[in-house]
Amino acid sequence: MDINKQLELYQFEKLNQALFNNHPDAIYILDLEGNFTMVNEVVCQITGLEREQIIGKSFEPLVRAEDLAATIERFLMAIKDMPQRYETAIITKEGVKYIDITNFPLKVDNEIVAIFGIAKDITEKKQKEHELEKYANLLKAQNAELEVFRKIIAHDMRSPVAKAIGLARLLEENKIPDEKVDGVKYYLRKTVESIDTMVRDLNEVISLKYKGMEFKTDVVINDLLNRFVALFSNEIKKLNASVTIKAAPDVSVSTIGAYLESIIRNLISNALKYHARHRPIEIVIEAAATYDGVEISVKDNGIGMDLTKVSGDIFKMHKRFAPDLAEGNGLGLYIVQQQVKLLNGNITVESKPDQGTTFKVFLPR
Amino acid sequence: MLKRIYVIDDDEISLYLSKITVELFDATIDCRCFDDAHKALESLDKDIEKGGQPDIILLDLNMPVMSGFEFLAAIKPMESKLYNKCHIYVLTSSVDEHDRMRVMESGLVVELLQKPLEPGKLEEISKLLPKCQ
Repeated sequence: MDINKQLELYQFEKLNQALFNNHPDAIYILDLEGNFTMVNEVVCQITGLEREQIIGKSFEPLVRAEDLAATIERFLMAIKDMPQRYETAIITKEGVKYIDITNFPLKVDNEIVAIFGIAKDITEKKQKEHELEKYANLLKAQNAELEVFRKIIAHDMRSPVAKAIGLARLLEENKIPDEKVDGVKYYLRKTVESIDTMVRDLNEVISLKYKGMEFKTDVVINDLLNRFVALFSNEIKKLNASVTIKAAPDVSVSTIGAYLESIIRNLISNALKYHARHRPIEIVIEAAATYDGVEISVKDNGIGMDLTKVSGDIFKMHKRFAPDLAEGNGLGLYIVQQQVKLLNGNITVESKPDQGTTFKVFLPR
Repeated sequence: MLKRIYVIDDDEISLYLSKITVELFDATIDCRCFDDAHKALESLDKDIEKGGQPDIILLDLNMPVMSGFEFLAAIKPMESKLYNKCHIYVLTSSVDEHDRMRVMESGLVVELLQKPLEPGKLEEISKLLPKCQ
């Protein structure tokens, strides 16, 4: 061979060696059975294995189980003279690593004798992708909730506002017959109060999202129930309702007191609101310890509901099922469900039309 | 001239408001209030038979049991009998554009009005009506 040609060959070989050894990515050669015949230093760095542990062995044990079938598929396609570019995952001592692989065949005299591989460690990039996906999902969920808030404002809040305007205008124009004036004033007050309730509930729902981890304390259920029944004593007396508490004095749970109070308050309020008009109100509140927590139930003999029609909707925002009674705005049960979830518990409901409703809240120990 | 008005709304205060507004506009109008659209349908059937269908129906949209939309669908078969005799005004607190578009699909709906009902509006409506039958 001509001396210049020899020099050229020498430079080219040196160049190849430099490329092979200094490239920041893993470069390797696989035989047609998928065994490593040559690896650069980075292959050892990424896998955490010594050269002797890799050479002569198959790539398969390195690959994460759920990615193996697809990776083998890619290798087989490369052997059939189809270059491949794909992502897969390998298991190393440092855990799972995500890699971006290029495979192409090495040909001698037009015959495929081996497969070249270039593998880039994209673990960090993948982690960022996962986080982005997590935030995207969070955003989607929050947008869905925003849409519900928008509907609440467009429909539920506008309704009492329109009524208040109508009533106020009538009073202002002084054209109402005397015997009806008191009625109009009463309705105006009730309407404005219902707007106030709605605004407060909305605020509570929104601020629930921003509460961090509050402190857990041991709450004696019996005490809490008695306290709340006392809170409602005026309304209970006015409605001639009988409220019975059945909770052993030793039943307690470690939980966030404020949330549990809000849950009980909402459930009692509900039971009082949706009472049947033609029979005396009876509410029974029970609390019992279970093997893994506490179950509190609030049972009323009120108007009940047809669960076959409403079951999925009952805890959703702004669904009212007996809107001719009281100023319901439908947020109470949504709040209850959110709080129960925050306490890692769950809530169920049983009900039959005109026979009453029972809510059961389970809280883990 | 308005002789008979139906007001259909599940909310007792809204019904009361509409009724008083109608009374103050013209105390001779027979104003019937329904808190359930089903009951309104039954009454409508009977009134059509007797030739005394309401001139105006003030219809709320957001009602449980039977919504305003469901009521409009239910009276579609009667549309030919009621056309130009019974005019429906959807009276709603909703400010949702979707509702407005859906509602205008009914042949009997003249307009979507926003609550609260204004006496001036009643005057306008009564002037638009063809002369007393």
